[in-house]
Amino acid sequence: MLARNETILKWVLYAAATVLCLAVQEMFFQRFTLWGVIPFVYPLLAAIPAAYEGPVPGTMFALAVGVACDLILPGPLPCFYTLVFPVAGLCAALLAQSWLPAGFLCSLAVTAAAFFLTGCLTALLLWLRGNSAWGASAFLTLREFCVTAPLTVPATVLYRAVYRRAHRDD
Amino acid sequence: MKNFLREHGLWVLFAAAVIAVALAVMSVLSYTSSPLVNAANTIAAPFRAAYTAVATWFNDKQNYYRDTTALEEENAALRRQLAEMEDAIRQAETDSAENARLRELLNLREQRRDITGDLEAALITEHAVSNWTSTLTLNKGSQHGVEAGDCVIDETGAIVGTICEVGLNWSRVLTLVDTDTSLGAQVFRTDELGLAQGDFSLMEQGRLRLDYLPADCQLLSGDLVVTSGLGGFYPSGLVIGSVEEVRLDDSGAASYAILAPKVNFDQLAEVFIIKSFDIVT
Repeated sequence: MLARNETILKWVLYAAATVLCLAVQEMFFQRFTLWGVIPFVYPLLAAIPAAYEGPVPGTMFALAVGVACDLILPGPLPCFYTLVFPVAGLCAALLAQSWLPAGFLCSLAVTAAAFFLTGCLTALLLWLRGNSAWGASAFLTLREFCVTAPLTVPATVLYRAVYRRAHRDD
Repeated sequence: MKNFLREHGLWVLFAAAVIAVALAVMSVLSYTSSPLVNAANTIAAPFRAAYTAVATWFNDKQNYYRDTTALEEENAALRRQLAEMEDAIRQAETDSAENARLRELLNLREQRRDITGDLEAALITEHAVSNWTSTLTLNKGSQHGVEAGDCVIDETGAIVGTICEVGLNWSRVLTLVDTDTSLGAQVFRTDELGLAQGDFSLMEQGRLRLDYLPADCQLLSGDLVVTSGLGGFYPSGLVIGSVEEVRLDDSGAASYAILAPKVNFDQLAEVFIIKSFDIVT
């Protein structure tokens, strides 16, 4: 059990790591495309910390990331990321608890799940608006995941360092 | 020494006089220098050459240093001059491009009396930020009088999209190919009306659909499509793009066309926001 100050410090460090990733996305990844898509790190930022921190704190952190993404990104709904990222965070935390311990492989799996959820919800919203594009959405999600998957490595290193720093006395 | 001179001084003097006279006679009679002079200079010649060589080497070095310093200074000055000229050329190219854009805009203003006066020039600060939408971020916002729903055009009068979000000093444009874009459109040649709207499957190819055309429409590839202006939301006659292909929809009761926008979104740098316009009936 962490003391209050340590808990605050932990979440400040997670927030700082996330802000760093957002800055890198804004400054570099957004400027080029690979396989027709720009690398999209936002789902990683919701899923990977949740895999380390467990269902409740992970979901809350993913919710905060979702709110931040809705503030800076256009989406099919004004609260699109606020809706989808907590679900992605919860899935990531449950996956890490039950099947794969948090690590590189787990990060890859939870990132895939986060992209899948994001793609599904977008395709669903398009379908509800009468603009059905399941095939195109699935292909775009696949390409987004493939292009972004290598970035799970530095993101995992970063968040694992924060996790170890915060839980070194456990 | 004193004794020697006292005893043999006369002889020495005599010998010297004889030698002097002999040398004088030889130098008068000879076409070359006298043997002593010749001998002295022959011995001194290599030393003189060596001395001259050293002196020349020092002179050369001195000249080299002076020339190099002068050349370096001249080179630096030329580089400065070149940089200034390159800067001037760059500025001239920028001015020239801006001049061309403004000329086209002036021409557009003359052609389009309905949108005169209230155009706001804006620079694109960011292109697409997500793979699921097609947006542009501009550097003008509510403090410049920009409002959501305003139409955005390029310098030729072709429509780029509509403002969907506005901040204090920024705004976001949904381009024509975004799935949330929907505009009343008209085929310029046939006057047929339709609805130009983004389609997710076509967005990546930079295309959009012209929906609700009659099944027997007679569109040709290359037909120009412009905004209809119906409803008064957008000015009429803004170029959307041209018809690429006409297809029958699933029901078979209507057709739709695939449109290629006139604007190349990737190469846009500056756009103009129509803040107000007169509705032309």
